Amino acid sequence: MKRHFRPAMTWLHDWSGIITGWLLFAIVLSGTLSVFRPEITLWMQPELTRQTVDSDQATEAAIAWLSAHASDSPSWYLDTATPRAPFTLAFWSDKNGYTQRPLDPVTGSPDGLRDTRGGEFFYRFHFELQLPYPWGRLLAGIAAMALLLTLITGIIAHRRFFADFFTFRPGKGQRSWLDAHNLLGVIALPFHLMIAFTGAVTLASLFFPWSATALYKGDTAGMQHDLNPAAIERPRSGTAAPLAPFDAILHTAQQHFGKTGIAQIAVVNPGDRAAVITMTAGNEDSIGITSHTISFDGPTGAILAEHIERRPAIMTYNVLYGLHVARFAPGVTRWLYFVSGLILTALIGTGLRLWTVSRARKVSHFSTILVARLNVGFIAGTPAAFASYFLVSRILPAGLADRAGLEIRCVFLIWGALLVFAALRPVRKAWPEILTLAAAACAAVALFSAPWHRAVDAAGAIIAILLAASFTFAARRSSLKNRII
Amino acid sequence: MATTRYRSDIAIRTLTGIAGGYLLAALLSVAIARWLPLPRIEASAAGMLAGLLAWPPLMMTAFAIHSLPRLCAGFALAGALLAVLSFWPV
Repeated sequence: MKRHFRPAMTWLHDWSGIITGWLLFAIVLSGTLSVFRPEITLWMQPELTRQTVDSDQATEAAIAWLSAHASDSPSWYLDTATPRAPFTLAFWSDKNGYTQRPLDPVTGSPDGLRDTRGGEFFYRFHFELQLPYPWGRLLAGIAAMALLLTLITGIIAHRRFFADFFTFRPGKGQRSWLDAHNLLGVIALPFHLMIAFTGAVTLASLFFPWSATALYKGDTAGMQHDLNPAAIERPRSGTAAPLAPFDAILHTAQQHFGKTGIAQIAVVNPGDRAAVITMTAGNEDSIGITSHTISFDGPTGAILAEHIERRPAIMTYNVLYGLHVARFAPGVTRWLYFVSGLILTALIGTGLRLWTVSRARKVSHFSTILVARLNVGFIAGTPAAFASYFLVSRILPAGLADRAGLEIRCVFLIWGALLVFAALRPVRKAWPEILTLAAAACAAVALFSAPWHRAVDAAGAIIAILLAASFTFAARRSSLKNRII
Repeated sequence: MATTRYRSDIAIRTLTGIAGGYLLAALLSVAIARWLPLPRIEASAAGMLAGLLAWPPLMMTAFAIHSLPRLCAGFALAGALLAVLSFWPV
């Protein structure tokens, strides 16, 4: 059996990689951008120039505005303002269904802030793929499992694991691509394995619900209660009652949470006597998510329940989840996540590219041509389409109706157009053309960051210039002679 | 013809790995959840994570074992054992 093991695993690596590679490329790239989700939202909101914000005052302003304008919504969900994201991000239901908008930290109102999904677009796309529930999440979960499988089989396929770490032979065609692929894989291997597994964990309840089904036998409410004993669910009473003064509730929560502060606030049944306010502590001193939760009675402000997570299995789950979403991460760690994410994106890209490079002699085969064309469309087209999102966001007039929806439609229109272009155009021409387009789009993002006053604009411009330089380099390399495919 | 045989071999292994592997992983998650002496929510979470960890190695096993009959027998046996553990009335 030993004789067959490595070839079998290599075969599995190649095939699981090629089947899920394009989807994973888009998932990993959007996930990498999601590391800077609040910063991207801020970049797309040039009106938000305030540097420091009092989180509690911003929350109070948001609650006051929602009480006046969204009292019909069955619930409100708030991500509180932080130094990274100096605005309250609110999620509520209006006559058009659920909407998510940043609220001004002083007025508590979304008016005056342009309608954009900001960084939330990449974050949602990363695991929902713009598909209806649950299909996008299922697909993303399966893709995460496939990534884990491809990584493990890749380690087995890789014969000289540590020796090759110091090997890079540029300009030698297939050999160079394999060297690059190996190097990218080994250099951030712990990150790759961690992010693939924890990514699957975040969606696990969707495709491995069976243990909970077997033990709870359909008692969803009971399971929800056990999962977080401080999450109180009670039906609307029908009797109106205003919320208790919010500053006192915030003060109590801050005292209980200590220096981690309040990260999330849910108000269920606002304006009703059965209103419940649930606050979740921040992530600054714990990797795991939802480590501390408190529920308040809406009309009185009395504490209904408090829960500090100490149960080993749930804590393991929360820590794995927390490792993936990295809300705990201080600045340096966040940059490491971003760079490692780019390395994983490049790992997948080089892997896809190797498929065609190693089959260059079978250039006339339909499958090789199909893979080559999809490679151009996805590897060069996805970054170009994602960069165009930033441009569209700056170009569309601020007051446009359904502006947020229009932005996202533009991204998919551009992405689709690039995929069609890559499908029709000769491959060796399409590579430099779309890569040049991606470079130009990134350079334009740097220009549109003007006047570079805010930190996010300056940092965004620097990243965009670095990416533009990389795409220019790639475009030049790809237009060199003697390239067959 | 060798290619037909090769293709059916691949097809059976893929099906065994994906569907059979998923089924075994799901049964494992239920069996663990039912027999761990922990509160319900803890046991559910532990079982779910175990299932998640089990699926990729099972997929690899479907391609690592050279003899197809032995592979299918092994998966069937493991499935039967886990099914008994999962559905045994307690």
